[in-house]
Amino acid sequence: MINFIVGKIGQYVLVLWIAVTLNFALPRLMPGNPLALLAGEEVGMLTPQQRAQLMANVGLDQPLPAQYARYLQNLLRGDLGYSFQKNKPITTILADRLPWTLLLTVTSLLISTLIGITLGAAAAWQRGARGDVGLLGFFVFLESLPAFWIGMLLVALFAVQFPIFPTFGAITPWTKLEGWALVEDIVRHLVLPLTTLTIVSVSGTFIVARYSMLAVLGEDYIVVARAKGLRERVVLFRHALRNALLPIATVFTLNLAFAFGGATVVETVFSYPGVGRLVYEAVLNRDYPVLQAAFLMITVMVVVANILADAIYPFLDPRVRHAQSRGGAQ
Amino acid sequence: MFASHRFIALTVLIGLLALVACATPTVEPTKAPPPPAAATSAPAATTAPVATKAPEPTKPPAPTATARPVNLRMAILVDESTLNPYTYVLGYPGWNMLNLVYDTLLILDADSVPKPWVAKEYKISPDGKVYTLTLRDNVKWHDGKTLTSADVKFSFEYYKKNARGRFTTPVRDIVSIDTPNDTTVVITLPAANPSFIFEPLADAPIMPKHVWENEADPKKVTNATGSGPFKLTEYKSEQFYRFAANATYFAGKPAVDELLMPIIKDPTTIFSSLKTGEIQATIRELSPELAKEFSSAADMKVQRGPGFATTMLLFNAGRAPWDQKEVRQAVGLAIDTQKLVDTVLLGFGTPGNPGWLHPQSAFHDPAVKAEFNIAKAKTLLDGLGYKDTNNDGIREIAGKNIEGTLLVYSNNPQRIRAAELIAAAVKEIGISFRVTALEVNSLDAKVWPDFDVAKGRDFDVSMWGWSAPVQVNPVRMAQLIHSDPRIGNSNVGGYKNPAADKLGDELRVTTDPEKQKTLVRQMEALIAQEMPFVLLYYADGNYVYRTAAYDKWVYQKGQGIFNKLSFLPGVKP
Repeated sequence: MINFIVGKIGQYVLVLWIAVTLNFALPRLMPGNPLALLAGEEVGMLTPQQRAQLMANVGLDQPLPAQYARYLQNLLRGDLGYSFQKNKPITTILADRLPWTLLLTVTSLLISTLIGITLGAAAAWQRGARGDVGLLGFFVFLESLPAFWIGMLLVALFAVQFPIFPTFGAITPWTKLEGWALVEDIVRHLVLPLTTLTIVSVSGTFIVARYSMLAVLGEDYIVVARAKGLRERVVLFRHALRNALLPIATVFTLNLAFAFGGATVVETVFSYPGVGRLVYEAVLNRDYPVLQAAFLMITVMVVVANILADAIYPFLDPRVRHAQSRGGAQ
Repeated sequence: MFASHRFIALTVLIGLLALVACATPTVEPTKAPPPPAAATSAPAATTAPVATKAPEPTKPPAPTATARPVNLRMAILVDESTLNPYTYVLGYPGWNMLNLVYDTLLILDADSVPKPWVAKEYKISPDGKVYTLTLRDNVKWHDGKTLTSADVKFSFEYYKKNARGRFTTPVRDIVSIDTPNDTTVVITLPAANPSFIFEPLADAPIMPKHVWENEADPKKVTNATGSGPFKLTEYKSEQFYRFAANATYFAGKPAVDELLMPIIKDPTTIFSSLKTGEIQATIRELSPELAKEFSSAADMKVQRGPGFATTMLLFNAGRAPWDQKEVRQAVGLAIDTQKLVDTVLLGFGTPGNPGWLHPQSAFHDPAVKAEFNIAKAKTLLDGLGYKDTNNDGIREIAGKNIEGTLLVYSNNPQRIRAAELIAAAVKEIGISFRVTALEVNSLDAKVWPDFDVAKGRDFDVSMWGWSAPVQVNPVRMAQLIHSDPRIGNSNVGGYKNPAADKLGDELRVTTDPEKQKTLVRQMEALIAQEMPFVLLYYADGNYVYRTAAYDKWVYQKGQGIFNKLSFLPGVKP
């Protein structure tokens, strides 16, 4: 068991180190550099010495190995750096953005997972029937709709035509609301982006849930359960769905990790102050420190999600538990 | 079932945690802004508005007798950061927002001509080298201190020392700044410089010496004390800026009491919000497709005027065959710029003057005109020996086609459309352009590596453009075509011509208005003839706002409605 855990930890550290290195290299491999960001407008008029000075101010004059070493050092101290564009420490920026992003993406993930599993199981249960074909067609259709288009449509309908919801933002920024009024304001701002994001992500879970159920329903133990005369609902929930949850749980934990990366398109359409838009703008502007930090956060979350999945599996599937307690392979 | 219960419980728990995490940093509304204190440490997590008020922030703006306060919400697209001269992001609207808070010595009037402002008068010595400016004695910083010549001297010297593209270059060559008394500034230049009244005098913000003198890193300064018509009272990153009228402004209290500028990232959403009334104006230009719809709305008004931002086709003048003047001329002759304006801008624009200046510029020579003539273009190419011998529709010489890649920014659908129309147009005369869209930074890295024309270039032809200020000051034409990288720092195509260099050298030091006009006209004629670039069009400025909220906007030629004068009705500099 100890070997198992040490092995796992070693694996994760290795993965993290490779990821950190890639995160350092990728932004710098893109053509261009952050000079325009550092110098502001009319960068073309600066003298070579002034340009060099600006780059040196942020340490970009150093050779790459030196930059890399400094990055690793800072990282070990927990210092994510300072954004070239926002002129703020990145930890502050992420602390600002992450709650909004998670409110949006995690809520959407929960709703779409719930809908996806329920309808996916229902569809698989009556495979080939009109309901199944209808649902499958419907979700494939949803999957093909672009997020920005749904977002714009919802704004046009429910914010402009029927002014029920606001068109932008996560709260009404200039009002000083408190208590329930604040919660209501946040929810009102959340509805349209949440709906958009859920519509574009629900199909994935539905399709995974449906296929995973179909695979389980072909197993012998389902036949046995039915032969025992168990009620349909018991067979569906206790025997089929529970076994079908494994792949769904894997997809869910991974999506949970990517939820930290935000939802760029939805955040843009609704001006939701999230991480997705931050990363997008950092790419366009070559804001290296922000890119490094955001990618790192996503990597760490994927690793954490993997750990989480590893931890959850034994509860979901007793076979994994037995295999582990016998000291078996991973 | 037990295990899956736990699974569900776990997911719910994670969801709740996320919600809690959300709630904590955002529930802050009633808290008073923290004391301004030292701006050196990192701003407190999320509650502190980064731009803090001047030390005595408590006094509310004096209420006017009976009039209801005017609150205006005007949307912008991009977070302009902490909005000091070193941190604002975009020339438009960042610089314009900066100018709500800060002042310049001179100001561009509605015709974009520099006029006295904080400096109530200025004298230029006959040799054009010495500028003597007399400051008003009633200009106060937002914290109550008086703006003096020491602040001016300090600001220009600070810009000289700390590199910032727009503000550093114009003050680079200053020999000395003297301040014989609190209201007199004497600036000495090494040579006459007709640009000086535009930049820095009507462009560089004056910063308070007492705030900035101990700041080593200008990017980290969050104290936004200025002398302008508005005080920046709150800034919430990625959400909004709040400005309050400066009741003691030297030119009078602005007509808007509170200006809120929310950041809305998507242009479509901006116009939806305008329809619902969530915002009442925007710095974003109305796209031609929307102009009709908004023009007919009863409670809104669309103001249209000339825009000085340019859209052009830029040749790499150092690469064959674009190094041949006749090839560039042929391309220019093959493009129907009126058709581009009609198709791409739906008529909301002005076809390009091949000599660079906007036809509404005071310096433009009406004799310089664009020509659309396919037959003439073909004759030019015939004359050079380019013939289509293999019948593929493309002319060649010694087996080499006239062809090239036409680069265009991928985030600009209008320009992509124009590029495709141009590719189709030059096909008519046997030239092949492959339109390639690239992300902004990647395109710049090819066309203008490190934004330094001395570092060469790797492209054939590119869609290109300069912002409005480059048009406002005609002396800047020299920057566009001079072959010395220090002077021709905007000569991105690498064009070389001794005649252009000679004209540019003269233009750069000529202060006599009549002589300057003659030189500008000669320059226009030369650019139109040599075609280092084809000027395609100038898109009109179209701005829409709700009239009930505020309707005293002033359209500044080339810049639009978002300028200082729009908030100071009745003030004519």
